[in-house]
Amino acid sequence: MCEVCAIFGAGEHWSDFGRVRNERFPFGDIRHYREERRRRIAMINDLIEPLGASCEDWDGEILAVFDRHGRSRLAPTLSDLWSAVEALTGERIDPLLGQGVGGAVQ
Amino acid sequence: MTERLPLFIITGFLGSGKTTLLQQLLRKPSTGTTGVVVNEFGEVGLDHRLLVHAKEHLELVEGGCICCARRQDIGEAIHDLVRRAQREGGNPLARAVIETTGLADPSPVVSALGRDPWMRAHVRLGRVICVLDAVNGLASIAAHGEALRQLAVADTVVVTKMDMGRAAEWGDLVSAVRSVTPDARILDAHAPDFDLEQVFAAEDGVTPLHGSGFRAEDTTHAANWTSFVMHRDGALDWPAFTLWLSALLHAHGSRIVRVKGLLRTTTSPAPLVIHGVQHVVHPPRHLRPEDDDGQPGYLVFITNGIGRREIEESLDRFLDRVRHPGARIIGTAAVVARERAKA
Repeated sequence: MCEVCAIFGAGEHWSDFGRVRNERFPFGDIRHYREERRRRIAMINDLIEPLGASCEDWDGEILAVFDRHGRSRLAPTLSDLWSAVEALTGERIDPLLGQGVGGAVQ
Repeated sequence: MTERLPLFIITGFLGSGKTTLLQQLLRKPSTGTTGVVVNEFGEVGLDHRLLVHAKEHLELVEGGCICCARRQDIGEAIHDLVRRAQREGGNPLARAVIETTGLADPSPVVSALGRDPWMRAHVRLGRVICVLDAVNGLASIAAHGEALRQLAVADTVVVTKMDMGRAAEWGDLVSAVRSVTPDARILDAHAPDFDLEQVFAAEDGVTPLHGSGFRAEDTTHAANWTSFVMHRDGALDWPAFTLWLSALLHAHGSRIVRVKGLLRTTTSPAPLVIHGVQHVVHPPRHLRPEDDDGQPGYLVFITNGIGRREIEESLDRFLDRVRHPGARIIGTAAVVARERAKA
């Protein structure tokens, strides 16, 4: 969200192009964008819950990751998510290994 | 908000003709105002009003991956260029061009666009143009990892010196380029229809091609590099795909030299054109309906030591996993090891 005008924006990260058009502020598509973001967070939780972590949306812009002890890390973009999960769980995320996001204890 | 300034990167091995191509562009007024960034003094004999020298300064960050090396100099040079253009008045910049040195790996420059907050907001990647010398180019690709990497990162290849007696056959050059970067545009600088404006058109750096433009087989190059095209029928679940690709690049970005392609997704009616270099993926572009000819989606991978099968199976496994939420088959390697120990 724009801090000044309180307009809902869509992230600029490549993964945020769940929007329908190329516009940087896709006002008309914001509900679609939010729904895709919500769906993605549900998938993240499904994947990282067995690792003892969970994820919440922070203001529609940032991902907040928690472990079972309530410790948290903020991931500004999807690229930062996996480092945050690794830091909290001690597991290495590697989709070439095993199922889902894979992983191995470091 | 104003449109981002397209940045074109001209790369190519020593003596391939990068500066000549740049000079041709600057002499052509119809192509609009171009700001130029060159890496070193003395290397380029350019007399140009909007020219900024940036001393190439690579600052390796933790992990030492070359694409994550900080190129703060690039951001500062482009910033300087934009301010100078505004101060001097005249037409606004149509583009910025950076000419890399002959031995430089262009990926840190591409990466700087994605990592530097100012650059992200004001500059976008136009095209990465690799100049390939028809006389020495094939030997350079075979012998020098730098030349191979420059070609791998490029989306447009301009072949120079085709007019010289010792030039390689066009077919051999096209075959060599396609084996490294299957969907690159390949242009002959000496062809009558060679159009500089087309080379520097302000589009994003991936031109979707028909399947017929691809080599069917995977190709392994020197240094354990592999290029392959992964076709995807049907619409990909975009949120699921982004999770998979971001996790893949997180774990193996340093070994994925290039990923690019056209994807049909569940999230929008228009296909998405994506392109990334190592850990950094640039904001995708929605293809205009008039450019969509209905071809199936595809991804081009250029990897170092990771095969098509590993990547394809990983994506299929991941998509299958997210289609079955709650299924306790996630089994990280650690969990699998514990289960085996119990058994």
